[in-house]
Amino acid sequence: MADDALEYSLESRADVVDEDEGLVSAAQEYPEAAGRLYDKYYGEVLGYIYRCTFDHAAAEDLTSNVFLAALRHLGRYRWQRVPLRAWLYRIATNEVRMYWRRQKRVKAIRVGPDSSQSEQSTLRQGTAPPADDSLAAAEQYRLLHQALLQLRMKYRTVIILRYFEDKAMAEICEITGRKEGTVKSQLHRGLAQLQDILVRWGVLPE
Amino acid sequence: MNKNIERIDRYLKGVDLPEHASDQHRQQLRRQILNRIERRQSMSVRSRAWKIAAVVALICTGAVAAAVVGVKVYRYHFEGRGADGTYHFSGERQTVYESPEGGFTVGRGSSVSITSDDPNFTIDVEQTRQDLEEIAVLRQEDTRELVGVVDTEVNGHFHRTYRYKYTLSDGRTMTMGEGGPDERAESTPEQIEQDREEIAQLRQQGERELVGVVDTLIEEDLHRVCTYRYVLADGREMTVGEGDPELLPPAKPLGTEKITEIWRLRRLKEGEFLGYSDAEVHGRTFTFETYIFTLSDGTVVTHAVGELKGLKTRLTEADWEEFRSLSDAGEGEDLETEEKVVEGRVFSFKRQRFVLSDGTEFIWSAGSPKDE
Repeated sequence: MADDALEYSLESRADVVDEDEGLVSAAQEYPEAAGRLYDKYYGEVLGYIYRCTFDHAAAEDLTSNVFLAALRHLGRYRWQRVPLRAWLYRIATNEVRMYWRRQKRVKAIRVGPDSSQSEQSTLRQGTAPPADDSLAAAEQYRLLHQALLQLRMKYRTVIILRYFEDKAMAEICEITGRKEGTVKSQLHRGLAQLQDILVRWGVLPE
Repeated sequence: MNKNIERIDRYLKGVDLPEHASDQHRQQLRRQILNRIERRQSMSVRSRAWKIAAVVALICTGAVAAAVVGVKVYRYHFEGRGADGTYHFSGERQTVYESPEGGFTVGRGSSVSITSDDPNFTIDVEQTRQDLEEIAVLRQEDTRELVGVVDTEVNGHFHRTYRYKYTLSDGRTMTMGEGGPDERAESTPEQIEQDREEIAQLRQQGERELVGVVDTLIEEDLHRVCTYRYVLADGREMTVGEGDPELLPPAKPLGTEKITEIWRLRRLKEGEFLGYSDAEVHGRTFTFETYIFTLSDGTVVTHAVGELKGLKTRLTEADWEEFRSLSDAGEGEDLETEEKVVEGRVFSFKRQRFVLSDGTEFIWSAGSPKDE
């Protein structure tokens, strides 16, 4: 009976509202709806956080935080003016920022192409790229990740969202809560700084 | 694409992105989330059952209780250190005024939280406790200097915090962030009695607004405090904690000791967090933040604090953490600078706008004296 009620609720709402919106209102009462939302977004959120942290264990921890926070605040979600995906990315972005902030506080990471050995020892065990990835690709991303860590968080965030998550400008605005002009400017400045760093490190030609 | 960033644009588009998948984590987190929802469901059903029982009991007596807690503070004691490293102190409570007819009490209390961005910070607890007591005396003498003002707006709701510098007898200085003066606690007994009578009239006329609810459940006995906002004829706003007019007073009163312990545990977050849930009270929807606490005598208490659902008017601790993170990351949008006169001094306020992950708009405006 409960299952029937759930299906009815979801199907009837789907005609007039976004599928996520129907699932969100049902998810507060029906575990099945929460499970569907979770299944839909888990991989995306974990992937995003992993590319931000490049650390398996941290990515899993922060992903848990994102979904548990979303569950806690689901009741307030109807007041959001952003789609659910953007809202989850917003929570994830804030979790990542807090992680970066904690990392910065706990240890000063030496960076640069020559410091890989010392840096490797400071990173958590889960940081090493998966064995089945090509070593060259993993090394390329490791260097890029180190370079990104040199940027201010706001620049780092928009670059990752634009290039790694393939987000359109409008969605980045929804996630960051910034106006398009601001995001464009942050993206441009961030890219210019990132380019300078990679040129300095010999990753990009002069 | 600007030529200056063409190379980095091409480079980033060609990067082989790393992926991570973990079936074990996916399943584990899924179970955790679904369990929480199921648990919340069972809590909600129980809550409805208590409400029905309480309304039936009301018909027998129709009793209404009103109480405001408060005192003048001279002594502080250390409550404990929260999981986030914050040190919590609370002031001894004293009653400022008690109505001769009983049932209406006015007073003042205070609590002090000391925290730091440095995760390894520690303080000398006893020395700090003594300092707070000395500061309480200096505050009453107004022997202090206003060195800053912080105005905040949460979804348009304004709050002000004053930063006072106190010079202690041994020459050390301490700066404290404090709320404004509590007009009611400073009032004369005659004024308080007049206010009480006016509030009683407004209550009878239904001229009040329910703005908060606190439910405490002990062994199926529901203790509910409703916070009502009254607007007096002279424009002053007063909030009063009262028993729920539709509920019979609980079978066993909680007592000051238990109430104090529950709030202490809540400040320290020494309980099991059950999450947020919505419930309607007297026609208004509240979002309840619920914890389960075990008191020192073994009593298990379910404690839910309800705020009006909708755009929040105050930041939660998690919101403050998020704000600090955004602020550190330079995510604030600079607004125009303002000048305001506070306690006879001109302050220049630098304003910044932040948008939190739940959509809350928060404006932080820090004012420093212009004459410095």
